[in-house]
Amino acid sequence: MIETRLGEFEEVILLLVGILSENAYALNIANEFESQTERPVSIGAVHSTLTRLAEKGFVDSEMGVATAERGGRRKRIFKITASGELALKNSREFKLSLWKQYPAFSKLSFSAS
Amino acid sequence: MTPQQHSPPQLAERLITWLLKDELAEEVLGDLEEKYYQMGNRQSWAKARRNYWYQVINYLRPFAISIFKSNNSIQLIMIRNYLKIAFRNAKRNAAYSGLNIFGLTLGFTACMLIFFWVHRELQVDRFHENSENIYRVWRNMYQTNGNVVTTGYIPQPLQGVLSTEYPEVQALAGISWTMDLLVEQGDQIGNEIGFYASPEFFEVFSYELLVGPSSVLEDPSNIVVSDRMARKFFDVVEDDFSEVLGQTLVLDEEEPYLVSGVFRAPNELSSLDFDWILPLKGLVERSPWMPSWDSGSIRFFAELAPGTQPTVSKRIEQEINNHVDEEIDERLILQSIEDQYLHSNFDNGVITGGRIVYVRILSAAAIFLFLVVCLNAMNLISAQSTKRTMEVGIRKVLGEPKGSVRTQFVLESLLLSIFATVLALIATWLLLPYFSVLIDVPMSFEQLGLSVISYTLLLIIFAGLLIGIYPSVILPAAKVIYALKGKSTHRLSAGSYRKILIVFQFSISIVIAFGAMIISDQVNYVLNKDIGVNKDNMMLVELEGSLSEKYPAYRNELLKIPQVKMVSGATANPISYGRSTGSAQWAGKDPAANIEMGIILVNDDFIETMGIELLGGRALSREYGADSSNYLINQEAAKIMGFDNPISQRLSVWGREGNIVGLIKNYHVSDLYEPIPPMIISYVPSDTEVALIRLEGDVQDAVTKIDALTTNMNPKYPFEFEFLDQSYADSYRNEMVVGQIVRWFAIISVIISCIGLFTLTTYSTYLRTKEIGIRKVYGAEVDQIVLLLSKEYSILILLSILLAVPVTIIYAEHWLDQFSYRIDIDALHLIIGGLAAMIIGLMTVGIRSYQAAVANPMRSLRDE
Repeated sequence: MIETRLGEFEEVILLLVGILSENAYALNIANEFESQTERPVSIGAVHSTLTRLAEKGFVDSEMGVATAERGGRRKRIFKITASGELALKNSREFKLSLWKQYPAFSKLSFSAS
Repeated sequence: MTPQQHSPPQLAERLITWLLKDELAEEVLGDLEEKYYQMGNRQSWAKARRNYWYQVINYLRPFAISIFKSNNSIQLIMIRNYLKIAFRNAKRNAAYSGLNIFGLTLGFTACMLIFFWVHRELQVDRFHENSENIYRVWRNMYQTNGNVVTTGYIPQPLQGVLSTEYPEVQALAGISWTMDLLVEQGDQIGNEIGFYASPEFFEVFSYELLVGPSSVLEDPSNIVVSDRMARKFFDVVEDDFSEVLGQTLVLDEEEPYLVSGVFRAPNELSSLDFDWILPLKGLVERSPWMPSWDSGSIRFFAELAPGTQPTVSKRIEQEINNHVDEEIDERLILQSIEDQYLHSNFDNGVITGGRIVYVRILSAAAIFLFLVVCLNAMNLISAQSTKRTMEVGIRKVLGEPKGSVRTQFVLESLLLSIFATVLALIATWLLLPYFSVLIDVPMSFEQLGLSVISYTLLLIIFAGLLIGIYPSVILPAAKVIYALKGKSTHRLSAGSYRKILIVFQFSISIVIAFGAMIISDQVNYVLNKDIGVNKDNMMLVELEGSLSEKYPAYRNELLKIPQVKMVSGATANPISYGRSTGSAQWAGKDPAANIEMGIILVNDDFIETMGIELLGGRALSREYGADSSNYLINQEAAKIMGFDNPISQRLSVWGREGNIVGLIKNYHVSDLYEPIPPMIISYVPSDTEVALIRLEGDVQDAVTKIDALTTNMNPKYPFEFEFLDQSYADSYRNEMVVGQIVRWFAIISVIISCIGLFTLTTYSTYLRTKEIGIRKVYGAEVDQIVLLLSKEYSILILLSILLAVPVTIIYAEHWLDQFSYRIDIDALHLIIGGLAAMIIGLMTVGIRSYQAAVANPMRSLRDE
């Protein structure tokens, strides 16, 4: 059985894959993570998470084109799958419903996002 | 800078390529490289390199690394299979494997201890930066009677000659004899050892000068002390010794000396031991006799320009003869400082050995033991592996090549030796403290450092290969068809091969055991030999400070102590003595002859107190007024002088002419390596430096009383004494220690050989189980069967003993020849030793055979 829930780090990485779309490869995701969260992360950690996400079926990947700065090596571009998007949506709705039950915040509107 | 000039750290790149799964290599290496250039261009290249490593290490995760996923490499699969089989085999034959590992561990431990010790011995005096260019000067004094006396004490004027006339000498250290000085500073008081040395001392040697100028040994009013001594006499804060400079120390109750420098105390790898150094200039100024070519007082160490040793050796040889007009022949020789510790014995002016003899004996014993251990393991494995021909057959049928089967057996023996080595390392670590006490040499793992690891690795690999040779060669060669039937095709040849091994290892064990016996015989002989002096209950007290002058009063006080029977005095310990003179003249002496004679200066009652036998004439005493120019001589001297009756003959020593008044029996003046020299005993009460006290009764109590008396009369000096029998025994410590170690080796190698014998008997009785069963059914008695089974091995043991005897005799004779006084090898001891080996061996075989013989034949015949 494959675990289909998302961990916090996994969710962020999955979102970043969606945001970066064409440029979503391990190094770029790690850089983006660092600049958005200001938390250091190693490429290996990101890559490991991407592999896990792929096992769960949330991302798909294919080899991209080679560039000179990588010594002529190609990069693996990750793409979010339909079930990945569904998982993100479920996660967001689940959290929204939790937020709504929180009395202090229930009056706020989240529709703006 | 353009990126082309930089590239990611190669080592890290290779590491990740090696570990990473192949399918990930392209993207990961690409990412890493891109990151590297990004960081390099934006920040710094050093940072980029560090980051590359960081990224690489962070990639070492299960998802990315190849060993965590199944790998298709056939070798890896096979190795895993070999390991599995090895463990199963070890478990199935737990007793065999246990015995084998036990034997290996025992042997390896002993070998490691010895090799560590040898390693340390070889390091002594090599810590000096230029040790390969530092030479010690020795002086060979050729005697008319053909003997050559060698000493390291050289005439002091050589210093000037070497420094001015020899351009090859880059630095020269002249050192006086090592002495004990009473050092005082305020309330602190103590005896410290050290010597006088010339200014270039710290240039020649690499003893570290912590504080002080390079001219630290110039001014005679200065003293240089060790950090240990500085801490003892001054308040030293942390490691700051600069405060100590300029402070004063009072030496021997005389004038104060200024501390001009502090050096780090010599480590245990230095053969020179000292806590202070005084400028040599001061000693020479105070000793008018010193700057003469006729006396020897200084040890010289010269640092030569590389490669100039042969030229200097040639030129220096005649240096003394060139400066002395008299008819003497004294030649100087050079010895590398790297050799002086281990090669310190001179025989007729030629370096013949020293400690190196013991290094060699123990290395040889260790190497032999190592061989015994490995052969034993090899024997066990090969005996056992015959049971595995079936396995080999199946492997071969399934298509495994010979080479691969070979790998399996080598791997198994490698595993065995790794396991045994790890156990042996632990054992060595535990035993090292006891071992270093036994051999009286401080050793620790920290000090050994890297060499431990390299030794261990070598040991593992070498032992593993050695053990693995037999099974890996013989087994895969078996014909498949026989192998599958469980028969070994090579039983005959393998059997005789094992027999040769057994004979070989048993012989070695017996040689080691014989060696241990002979060493301990010689040591016993030396310790119990009548050396011509009654050394039991004989106490020697050093007369320090003013005690020497107060000797008559001291003697009177001593004689009041009830246990003190007699008291005499001499210049030094009479049985560890080296002073000699070439000045003796007597009637009929060839005027050109140069004969060195031992001379000892004594006080009243010397002969009686020491228990030396008087053969004719009378002893020396103040009662005969003119005895200060009368002499006693020993038999050896009488022989050289050519007197049948020496009494009343004229003799002059150092220009003082008198009569020979008595003849004494030869007694041993130094150790038994040396022959007894001609001796002259002269009555010079004023030169009494040690008191010789004959005790009787409660010695413990006497020591307490003498301590109190001595301290009372000489309060500043610590009371120092020795017992002659103890110090005599101490001078043979090397021999005793080596004897003890060899004895341990003998025990270990006999145990190991017995393990081997035991398992081999087990194996051969196993092969003959059916035969024994059938014999019993037909009415054979137990003793007949035991005899039948033991016969084969008894012959082997006998053969080993016969082989061991001549080898032992050759080596033992060689060792014993160093002693001037030695035992003859005792045939009875060899016979007893041989019999003991025979009995131990037969019992080992017998027990196993008996077990097989009493077994119920039903059992052995049932399984078909």
